[in-house]
Amino acid sequence: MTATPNNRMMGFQELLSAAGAAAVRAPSRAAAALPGSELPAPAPLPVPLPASAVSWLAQAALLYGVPFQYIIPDDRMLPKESIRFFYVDRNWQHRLIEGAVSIGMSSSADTLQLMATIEQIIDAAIQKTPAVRATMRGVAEPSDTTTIGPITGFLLRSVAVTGWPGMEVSAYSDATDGPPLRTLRMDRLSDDVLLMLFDGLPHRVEILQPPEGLHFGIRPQGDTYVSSLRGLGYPEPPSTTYVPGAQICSKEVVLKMRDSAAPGVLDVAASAANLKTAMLGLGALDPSGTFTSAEFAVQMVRAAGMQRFKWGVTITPGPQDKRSMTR
Amino acid sequence: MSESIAIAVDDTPLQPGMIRFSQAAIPPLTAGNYRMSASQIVKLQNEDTKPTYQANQDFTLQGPRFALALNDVQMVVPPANQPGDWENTLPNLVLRRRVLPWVRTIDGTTAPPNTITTPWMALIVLTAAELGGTAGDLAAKSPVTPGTAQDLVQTGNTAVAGPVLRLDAEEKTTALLYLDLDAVLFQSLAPTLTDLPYLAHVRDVNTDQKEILGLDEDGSFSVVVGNRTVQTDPDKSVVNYAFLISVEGHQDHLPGSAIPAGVTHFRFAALSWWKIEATAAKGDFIDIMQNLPNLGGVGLVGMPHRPITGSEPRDQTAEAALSMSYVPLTYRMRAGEQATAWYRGPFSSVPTKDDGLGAFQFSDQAIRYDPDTALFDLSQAAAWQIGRLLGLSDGAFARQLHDWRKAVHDNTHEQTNLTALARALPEGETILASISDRPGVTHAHHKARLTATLALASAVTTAPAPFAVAALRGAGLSGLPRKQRREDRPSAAMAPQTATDNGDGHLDTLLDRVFGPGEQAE
Repeated sequence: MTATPNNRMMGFQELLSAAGAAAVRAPSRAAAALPGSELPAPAPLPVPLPASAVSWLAQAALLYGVPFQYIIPDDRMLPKESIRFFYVDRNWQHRLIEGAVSIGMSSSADTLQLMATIEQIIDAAIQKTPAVRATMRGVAEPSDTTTIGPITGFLLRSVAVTGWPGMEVSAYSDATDGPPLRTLRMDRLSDDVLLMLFDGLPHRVEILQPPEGLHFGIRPQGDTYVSSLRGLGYPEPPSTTYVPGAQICSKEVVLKMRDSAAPGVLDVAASAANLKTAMLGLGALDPSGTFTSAEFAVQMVRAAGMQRFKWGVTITPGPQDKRSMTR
Repeated sequence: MSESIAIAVDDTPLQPGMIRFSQAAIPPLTAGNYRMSASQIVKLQNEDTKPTYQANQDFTLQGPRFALALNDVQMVVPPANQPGDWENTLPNLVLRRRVLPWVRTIDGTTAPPNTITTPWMALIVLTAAELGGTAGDLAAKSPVTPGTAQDLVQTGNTAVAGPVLRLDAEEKTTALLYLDLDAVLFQSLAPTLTDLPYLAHVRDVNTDQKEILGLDEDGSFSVVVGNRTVQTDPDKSVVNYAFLISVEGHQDHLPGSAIPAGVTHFRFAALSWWKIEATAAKGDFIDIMQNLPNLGGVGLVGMPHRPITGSEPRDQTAEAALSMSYVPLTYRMRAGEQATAWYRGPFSSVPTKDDGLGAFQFSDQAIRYDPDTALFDLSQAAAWQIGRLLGLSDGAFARQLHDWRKAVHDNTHEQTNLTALARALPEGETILASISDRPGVTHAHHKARLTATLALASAVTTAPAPFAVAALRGAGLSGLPRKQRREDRPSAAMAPQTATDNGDGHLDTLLDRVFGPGEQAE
């Protein structure tokens, strides 16, 4: 039989009627749909998505590469010297992933395939988020990748971000001293804007001055300057007389300033000798009396500043924040 | 505030916030010229002579000398240009490479291994007034001068003494920044040779709770401390300069030594420098953090707005949307109209739950419209579009996605073909029985192969199909991803539907997988 235009037309009509039949059938199936909560767990993908593509999507889910204007659409939302806490919108993340995997769709088969697999793709991407930071730091991926959710975080815009680049941020889910929530992302978006993302809802966030940058300080006392002493762990345990780092309250040591034309110059060697003598007198040095730049530094650094933020302590409720997060 | 600090002693794990102090980090070799020599003695049987062979190889170990790499400095305290009350503070500078202060010797000698040498760098603090000129001005010109190592060692002026260094021809052209300081002033404020070893140490910290710093991140930093406090004045702000200078070759110019006759100035290589503004303002870390509520405020993400007093529905809508971090923005529609639309970025002041909407095929599908207020919500459409642009901008990702999509299609085709094949085959027992063993001819190997094929075929037809088909079978739409309904999907309803019982057509299989099987094939 030769294929005539009529035959071809016939073929289309058959197809159309078949499609019509499907359309008629559809409502009855929809009626049989179960509530969403009783959906069975999605089956695994027939062909797993490549690991690097999953990692890429996980990074996208943590908003790597998203222009800042789309994160904070108006400057007034993040004024200078402010901190803003937030939940990450899950649906926003989902749309972002859908958009990313929608590229290069060329046929209805592609569309159907996407609809059948999108849920597994999104789940895989979200489950990979705890590994993103580990991979970037070059440390082993966490063995436990279960996410607690929701993903939360804060934006801090402050000169403190500029001046103290290594600041340490820990979030805790409750008042007790449990392990901190997993940090999913910590990034300086610009010179003075810090973005933090946590896995889980924090009830306490602690921002610690970077210990590597703790400065040396001296305390004026009358005409002289003094330094308090800190323990170095000697005598050795079990003795707990001088715990490492703990202030020795009973003793202050006079620091020697150089007698020179320029004011405020510390006679370092003489001051170190004074400190060493005092520590030796307390028996707080090791048996051989080591007092090097390390021991000197322990005595001289000022303690780190730490700022705590807690949920639900409202001091100045603005018009827009009903559950203000304050320090 | 307690003055205690968290210290980790040797051999204990570092917890976040803890510090381990060490006197120094010793490089395997300090920078300098070395000779490697090897000798071999050959003992020959029945020969009295023992020939000896000797080989020498000279090499130079280079280390930073006149300048630091851009990212060597992790941070400076007090922060550069940060006004604050820095009274009684000794400045310091944190270096990312922990061996840096000890990679050279101060006098150019080669140190024996495993000895702690005197640091070759010093941090000095001067006020703008001491530096002279216009250093105190807001737009003061840089106090350091660009030049080469040649300019540093041979100043061309007998009154300016540079460091005593041995340089090879290549090093002489090294670009650097140098600083000329009055000799008497320098001796009054610089550290002495015995001070220097106390002014550099190593700190190890845990980096779990830190921003990712860089390539060679191991949480080990070297710290160089100044010996002079930041100078302050109760009446006015004082501009201080801190210089990290190389004192290599300057060991005889440090305080305690006599200034050579005729010399009025010393010239130093400035490795790093920054400006500190000492004012009455509180500028320390904790002061800045505690001041947040008074300045920008502490709160949830959202657009600040005046209190909404009206009680009309539109007022309530506005208040509800604003309190959920939505922002009204100008929406330029395709047709050219301008309207106001709601937008919310990925950050919300309220928790969200899955909306169950699935896999949009283009961004406009994700636009939402409120007929009561006639306002659009473009948040999710924007998210979708950004996702697509991010995906498109990464060629490797796009390629992987394409390959994967093709692999899934291939998998579907294969399953479809196998199913069709299995259904086309007659019942296994019938075939086996039909093959009769004629006398003299056995079909044993044919039978064996046939049995294996039949086993495969039955495995395909009875085993749970890949994907969600098994879960869907007989359950109507219950297994649909994200509660999609078929009528939402015009493309599916319009798709050609062939009879399901002949098992061909991958589109049909896909339809089955997405929406559950049509008529059950018996």
